[in-house]
Amino acid sequence: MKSNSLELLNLQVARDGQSLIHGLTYRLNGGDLVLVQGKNGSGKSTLLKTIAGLVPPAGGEILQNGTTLTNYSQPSPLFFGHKRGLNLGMSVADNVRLWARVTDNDELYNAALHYFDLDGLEDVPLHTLSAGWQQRVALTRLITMPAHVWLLDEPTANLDHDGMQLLHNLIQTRVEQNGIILMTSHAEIQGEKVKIINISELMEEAEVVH
Amino acid sequence: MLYILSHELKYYFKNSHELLYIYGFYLLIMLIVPMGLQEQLNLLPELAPAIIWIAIMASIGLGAASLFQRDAESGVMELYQQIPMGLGQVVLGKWLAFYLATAMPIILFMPAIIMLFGLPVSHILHYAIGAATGTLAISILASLIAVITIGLERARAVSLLMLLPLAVPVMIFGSEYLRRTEALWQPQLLFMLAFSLFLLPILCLAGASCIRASN
Repeated sequence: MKSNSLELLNLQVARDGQSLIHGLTYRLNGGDLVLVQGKNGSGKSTLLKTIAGLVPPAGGEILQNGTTLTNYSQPSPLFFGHKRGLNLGMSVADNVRLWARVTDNDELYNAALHYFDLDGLEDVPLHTLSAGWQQRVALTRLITMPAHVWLLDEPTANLDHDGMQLLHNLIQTRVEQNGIILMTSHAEIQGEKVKIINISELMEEAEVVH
Repeated sequence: MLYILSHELKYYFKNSHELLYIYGFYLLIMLIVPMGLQEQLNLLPELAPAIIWIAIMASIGLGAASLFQRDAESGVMELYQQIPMGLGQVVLGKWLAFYLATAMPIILFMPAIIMLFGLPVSHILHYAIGAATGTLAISILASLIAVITIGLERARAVSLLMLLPLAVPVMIFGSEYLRRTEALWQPQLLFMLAFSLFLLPILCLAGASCIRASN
């Protein structure tokens, strides 16, 4: 992967007209794994959505490799949100294959199924699987939709020990391959290079300065 | 666009209950009206065009309401915004699958409808062409309303309320076409095609911005 950087310049994030985060300046380079922390409602998810281009920033700028990131930018960051993006009325294969196809990565389909141990479950309707296995199906998108930047909102939800291990390994590999990962998680994240942005503390400090 | 089309068609195939509501609603309206007429059944052939249009408008309008809503609720819409394919193409693929899945059976039911209303059997082709073209126009209109009301609570009721008045031109020209059975090619058919052609790019462009605005 070529040079990879993501810059947040004086970023202001708002939800429904209410400002949650302001004056956030942060630079991420390839290989950075950043854990976004903060209280409930502090704007963790909205921050990730804003970087993903799903919500316009209320102020400031987001630069990807030096150019302003808009929701038309390609390659787009990959956002993995609270809504899992699964079609419960269809099979595992239908759900996984769609994203491999629309991003022209059909050859990654088998690898993605295999990595998350979904071999043999291709034709199973998704609504018959447990929440943890549904989560695995959703996580296959990390393989089928390659992106320079991953924005993961609680990716460990519902996962069992094995599923968690698979996800950790995937994240570590991505970091070693010069990827950028911003994530929120209630689970422990292993790794020597984990950086932390704590939104609640940042905003409290900003209040004191004012 | 073809991937979206094939994915959506597969969705309808595996979730046939969604389509059964639409077909059931369509057929029920057709069956209930003759019951209400009782002794004036001789009026039925004259009323047929109007009843067919009302049934098409109501069933398509009801069916289209969840076309974009289900993807918005599951988070699939967020993902469609992160792929290299434009959102306009996604909207186009979803509409085309919806049209194929709803219009085909409505056309296939036509012989039964013709017999039910006591119309001459020779009118089958004329009625099938009229219904196919009208369904085209109404499905585009209904999809447009569905994408505008995306993210709205109780979108179903609102979208039917919006669709019925907007579909009046299609109904006027469409039922007139069904009455003029002397030739297949009529100016009314041309109007319905022009109406569809005019609305299709609006659906794709406006649809893309509505989806982005709904995040």
